[in-house]
Amino acid sequence: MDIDALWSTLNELIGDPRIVGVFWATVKVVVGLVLARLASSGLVRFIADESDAHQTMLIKRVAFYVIFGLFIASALSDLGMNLGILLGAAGILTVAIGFASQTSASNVISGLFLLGEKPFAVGDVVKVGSTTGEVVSIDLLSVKLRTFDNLFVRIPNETMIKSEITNLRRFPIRRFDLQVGVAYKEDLERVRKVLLKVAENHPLCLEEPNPIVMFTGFGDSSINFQFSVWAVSDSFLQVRTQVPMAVKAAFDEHDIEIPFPHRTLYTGSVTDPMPLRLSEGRGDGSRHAAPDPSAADAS
Amino acid sequence: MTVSESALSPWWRDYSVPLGHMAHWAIGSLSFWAMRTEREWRVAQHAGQDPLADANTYESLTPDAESAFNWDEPEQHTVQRFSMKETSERCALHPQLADRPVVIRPEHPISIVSGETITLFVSTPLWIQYTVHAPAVKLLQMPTMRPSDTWFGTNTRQGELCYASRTTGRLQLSEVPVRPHRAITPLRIRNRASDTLLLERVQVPTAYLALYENEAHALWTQALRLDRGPDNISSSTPAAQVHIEPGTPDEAGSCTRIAEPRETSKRNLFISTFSAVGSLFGS
Repeated sequence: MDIDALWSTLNELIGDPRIVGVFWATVKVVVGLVLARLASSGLVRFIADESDAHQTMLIKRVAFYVIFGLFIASALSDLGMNLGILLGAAGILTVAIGFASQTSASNVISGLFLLGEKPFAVGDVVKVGSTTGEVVSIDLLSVKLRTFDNLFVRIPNETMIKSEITNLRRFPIRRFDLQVGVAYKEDLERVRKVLLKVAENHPLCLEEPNPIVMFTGFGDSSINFQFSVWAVSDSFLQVRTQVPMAVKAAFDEHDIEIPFPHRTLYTGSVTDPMPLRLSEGRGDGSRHAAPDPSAADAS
Repeated sequence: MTVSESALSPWWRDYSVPLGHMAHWAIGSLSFWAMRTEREWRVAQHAGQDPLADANTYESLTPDAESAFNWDEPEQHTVQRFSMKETSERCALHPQLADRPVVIRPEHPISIVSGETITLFVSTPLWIQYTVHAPAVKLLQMPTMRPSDTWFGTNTRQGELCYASRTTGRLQLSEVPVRPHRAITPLRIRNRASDTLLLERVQVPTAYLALYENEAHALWTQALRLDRGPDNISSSTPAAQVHIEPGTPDEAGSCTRIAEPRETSKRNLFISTFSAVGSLFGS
């Protein structure tokens, strides 16, 4: 009978220690996977109050890999593999793989250094090269950023280690520098007072550290200042948008000119000045000054 | 109908707004409108920044004034709507102290010579809590004046976000102006160090202070005692221990407690510094 044949085959299989080993190894891998998941999330819940997002993520990863690794090792020994030989083989394999996957290895090592140095944490806003974004996760091979136009950027850890990183949220307050130029005819003391009044009237500009109006130079067509105000990092964007508007409004109110680039035409000391002719407007009655091209040619 | 109140009549009381009507309050530099409909309280507020504005009026708007009021002007006021199953006509205003510490800077620095104890009266702007119905439902809080922000700390890396306030630094109780939208805090500063203490700024931890009303309807807080001990020898950043004195201040007379502290702290001790740190920040 077919059923008898099947039964005897099954009996043979159950009696075979290799099959039993495979069965137990599979069970261990599955149980290990579930247990590692549960244990790591349980641990995260347990420590959530005392640690930040960065540490939580790190602890979750480490707990998962350690527990899962132990179960895998146990499963391998069930399959009849000698772990000692396996580790030895792994050593040789590592060298081979290390050469083959230098980039990945370097990223892993860089990732460990990054975690140790902690230049930023998950949730911080950082600037790396030309990319500015919020740190979404710090992983084995790369750091993931979300830029403010909502794009996902993956930066390899090796690049992070090598490049200059600016953390925009490390300190609670920030300074906003506005470059502003005024016309040469303006009273500079009055300009300074108007600028300081703008900072005083804006509730988000901090009173202390004091706002600064700094002379930066006599420009081509304007006298240049740097107007620096401090703000809490969280309201920096508001200050950056509102302060320039307030400065423009205050300058308009006090008749302070923000000049465009000026160009003076000078024909040289030995030549005559350029002749100008005032002409009555034609048709619309407007009055404007225009150089006489023929006269200019003549000189 | 306009009910103009004298400068010191208390605005912290119950009001009634009939269905479909509107009320307007002006307190300090705050203007506040509330309109009651069957299922909604609609409020508009505008907080100015003039610390000297001392308006104190309440008016129930006429139908003409109500229809003239434009709710859709975001530049002039912020509007909030609170919807509920039904509204009742009772509403109330309650005074509260600022939700962050207030850093007070005297207009001219005050020096306290060694061994002296002085009492300095300073005032901080009040917040208003608007509640409706009985039992009271809290709808919103608003400042009678929006003070400027400032940073209080030893450097730009550590510190606390505070409100900034200026004071003329009055030392005589009789000179202290009683304003309906500001609470007076007596600061008892004792300089036990051997050198003169230059008082450039003081942090008042308003969130930990209770509010009292005296018989003249002036608002007071608990007194603060700032003790600069002889061990604080570093004159560059003179530090002091700050204690909150329990109970009403002696100068206020007999008082009733009208608002509890926003935060309760087991300790009544803070460490504060007196000097400005602007020079540390450079360019």
